[in-house]
Amino acid sequence: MRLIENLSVLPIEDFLTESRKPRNWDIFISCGGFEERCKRSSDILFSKNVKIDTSIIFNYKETDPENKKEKNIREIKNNLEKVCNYIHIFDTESISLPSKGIKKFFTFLKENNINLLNKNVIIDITVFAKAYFFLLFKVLKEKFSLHKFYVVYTEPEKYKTKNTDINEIILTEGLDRVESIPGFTGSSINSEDVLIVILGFEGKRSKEVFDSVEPKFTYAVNGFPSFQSGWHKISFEANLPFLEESKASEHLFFAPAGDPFETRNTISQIVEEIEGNNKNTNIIISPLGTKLQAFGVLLYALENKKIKVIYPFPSVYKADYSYKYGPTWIFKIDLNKYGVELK
Amino acid sequence: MEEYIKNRFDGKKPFDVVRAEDFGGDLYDFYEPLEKLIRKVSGVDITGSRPVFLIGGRGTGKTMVLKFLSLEMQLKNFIKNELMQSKSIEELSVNEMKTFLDTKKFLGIYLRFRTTEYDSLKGDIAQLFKPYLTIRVAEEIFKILIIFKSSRLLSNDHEIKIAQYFFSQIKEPVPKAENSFNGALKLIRENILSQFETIFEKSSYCSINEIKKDYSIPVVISKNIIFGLPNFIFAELDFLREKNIFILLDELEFLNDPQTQCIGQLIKDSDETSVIFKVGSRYMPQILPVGESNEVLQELHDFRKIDIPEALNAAHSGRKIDYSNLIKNILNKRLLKSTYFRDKGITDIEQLFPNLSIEEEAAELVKDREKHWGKFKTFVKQSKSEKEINDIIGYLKYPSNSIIEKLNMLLYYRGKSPEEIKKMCEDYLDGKNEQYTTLYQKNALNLLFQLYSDYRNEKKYVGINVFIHLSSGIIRSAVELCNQALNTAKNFGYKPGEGKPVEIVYQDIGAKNLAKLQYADITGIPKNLGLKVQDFVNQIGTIFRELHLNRYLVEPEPTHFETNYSEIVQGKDVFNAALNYSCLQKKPSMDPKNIGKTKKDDFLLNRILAPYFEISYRVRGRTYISASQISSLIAGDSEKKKKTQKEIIKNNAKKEKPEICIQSTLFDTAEVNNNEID
Repeated sequence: MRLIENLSVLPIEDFLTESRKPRNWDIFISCGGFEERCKRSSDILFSKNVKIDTSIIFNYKETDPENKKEKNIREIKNNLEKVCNYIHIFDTESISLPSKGIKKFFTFLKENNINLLNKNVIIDITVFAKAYFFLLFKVLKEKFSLHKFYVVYTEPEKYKTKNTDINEIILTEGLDRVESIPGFTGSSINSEDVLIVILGFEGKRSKEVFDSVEPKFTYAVNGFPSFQSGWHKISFEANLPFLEESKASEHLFFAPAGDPFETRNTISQIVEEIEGNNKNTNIIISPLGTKLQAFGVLLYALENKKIKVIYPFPSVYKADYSYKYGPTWIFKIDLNKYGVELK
Repeated sequence: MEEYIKNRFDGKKPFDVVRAEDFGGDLYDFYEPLEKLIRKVSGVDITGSRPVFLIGGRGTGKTMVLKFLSLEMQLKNFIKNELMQSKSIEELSVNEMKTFLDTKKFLGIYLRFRTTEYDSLKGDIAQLFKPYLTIRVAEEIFKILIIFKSSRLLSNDHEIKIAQYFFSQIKEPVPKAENSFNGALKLIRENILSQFETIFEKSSYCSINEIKKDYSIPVVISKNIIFGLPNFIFAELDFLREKNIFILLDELEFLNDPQTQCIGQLIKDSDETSVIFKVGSRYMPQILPVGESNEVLQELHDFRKIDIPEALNAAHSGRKIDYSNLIKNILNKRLLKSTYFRDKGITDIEQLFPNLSIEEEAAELVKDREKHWGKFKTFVKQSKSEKEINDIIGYLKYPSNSIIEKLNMLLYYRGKSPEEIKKMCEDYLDGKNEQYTTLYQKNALNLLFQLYSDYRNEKKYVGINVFIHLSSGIIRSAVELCNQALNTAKNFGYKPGEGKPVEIVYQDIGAKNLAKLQYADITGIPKNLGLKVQDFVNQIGTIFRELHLNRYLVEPEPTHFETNYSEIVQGKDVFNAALNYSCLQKKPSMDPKNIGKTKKDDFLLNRILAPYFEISYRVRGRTYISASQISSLIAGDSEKKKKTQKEIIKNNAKKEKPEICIQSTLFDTAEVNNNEID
């Protein structure tokens, strides 16, 4: 039994079954990847007989030696062909170049005469890299004046197994750079930085972010309740060196791993505390936890332009990042008045 | 909370705070004048009139030094240590401020190139770096002026003139602000900087031309602000005549190439102005172009460079004790600041981490057992009978010091006869054999490593002197070692008290934990180089470990290698990253072993990693690794890497051939001159 009490995030099957009439969307945006779960939403949309006008599947430039990504994209396309009028595969840039990729997206939309203005859009963020979907939502809001979206996310059944040598789950390797997520450069006007890290399974990433920012204070948010029992302990243990070195253990908060709205509220509470102590600080957030928590960060950052969002772009995303799939969730977001319950 | 923001020092955990930022305004309370030692070792005065690059990775103290030169810190130091009062900067009287200024040749403004601040200034908007930096500099200058204003050192007329001068250099947005310092700061923060930030944000999905349609781009006359504003101020304000302004720029490594070029241009343009740049960087850029020209800045002519770890390692070489004293002073200062430790009578770091001699450690390990004879017997068994072996052992034995026994074994391996060895040893014990004394001094520590291996035990890293060695010229590492050791002990119930040092086992765990963390941190080196550097470091460490266990011990305690750096072709980016991120450290080249050979470049494996590889923490034996071998270790496939590793070990270890006895004298007496203090 999931502990999420916020009804604004629902299992997609329940949402689609409870609907009296079939659901229609103008645009479905998803992303193909190495992970099996990337195609789960299209399975469900197909099985529930939804109607979609245009689908856009993002295909990262990364090489695909075992053809896993290609196979997954083919299957997503097969599923969508039965419920969708037009399907486009958008060959975007590398996973670590969101700015280039999104600029290319504008050209792609023009070339294919796809107009997003006032459209009813559903986006599957499951395997979108965080920096990509942050910028994607930003431009959809700013360039296309879109405020209302349905968002879908499929959990993994499990993540890659732990590396016993270092007692940590390795999902990515190496570091390319720690950088602001494009479009979320926020404000650096003040001389002191306060960092908020949403903890993930890879403790080294928190440390890389901390080392790079060298903030005055550090806050941390751990995902609890977690997707699965005990996962919050994994992230806590993996982040112990970071929590100790940064003293974030003195400012540790919790927010449900599966609830963007609660995460957003927790961040708002932290920012209030920070500004209560000293108004003249730059606030920097690094979303290293789940995608749904990252979405909570996105919500807060879209509201508050002073917030800087940074991310440690890894050198390599492991192809076996996660296995199979867990539940698929859907929520509706109104960027002007988000957190609306699904009806 | 206010107190907490100021200073995070906790007396119960005196080594917990390691970052300059965490000392807040009390930095000067903990500051040990590093620049004096640097000047002594490198001959470069950071407070001199030349631009200086201060080089060093995290924890080397460069931020401490730069921040300490800022006017704010200098004033706080003056109030506390010279006026002996507790008042804020704003409360200084005209006379007190004048007294302060009389002793100062410079005013320092500190600016950090935060990665998160400058990272979006690329592509279309790269050209905005210079105006943005200009405004940041102006902001800091106005903060200084507000300090002088609060001391009533300047008149309203001065204030208006200076503000007007500044506004005249801003072309866009057209300044609409009060002619005052606060007006200037308001304009900077509320108009210009926020306008820049909007542009930075939009640039991730819009071209600059698209941005220009909706927003205006700030336009400022940089030269007239960065150099002109200080000149105008110094001409206008009598009390600042003849002064210089230090622009203290920290973390240059976060800038990209065009931004670094811009800094090069500014340094060049600063010649013969009252502005002097002091730049902190993790590493020295390969070249420093002057803007977009073909000209590059040249050391000595255009700037001076101080490599902090290099300088501090130099202050720890030979019989020099400057570095040890510096570290001990830093650590003791913290103990003295802690009422918790002071009340318990602990004011000297050696009380917590006493030193342990090689002989004491060996005795503690061996505990009257004879395991270390096992390998020796196996080796000799190949050519000798049981009786002969017992006779040989009879000559070599000296149970009260197993290191002497190990040395005797070494001499036997090298071809000395048991009788000769016995004689040498007896003479040594009588104080009459210099050769044996030298051999003992040279090999004892490495033999202790071998002794640990004989007993299938791990070498312990304990004692403040060992911690200082392990810190490898990086101050923060020394503090962090003490912190790790003390925290580990506390977690196991240790309570400090007079005559109660931290137990050996916890000191050792602390050192090993830190080594493990540092090794893991290597993967965090950016630009996709972390994993490759870690792999390279692993191979170098493994080679050194193998050589530590070599029976003939050609070069005891191998912790550094020599190579022809300029000849490294493949994998040079990885090698440079290992250097830039302090996994390797450059050390002064040693003289070639043979006449006619050219000097090579010497590199030391950061000794903080020594416990990870279980190798020595001192700078002793060198290993030769050719440039092509370096390339193979970095860029070869796994087979090639293994093969190269074996080849290096073989080349640097004594071959098991009879001629070893002839050559033995070559390495008996070589190179004891570069030793560190033990």
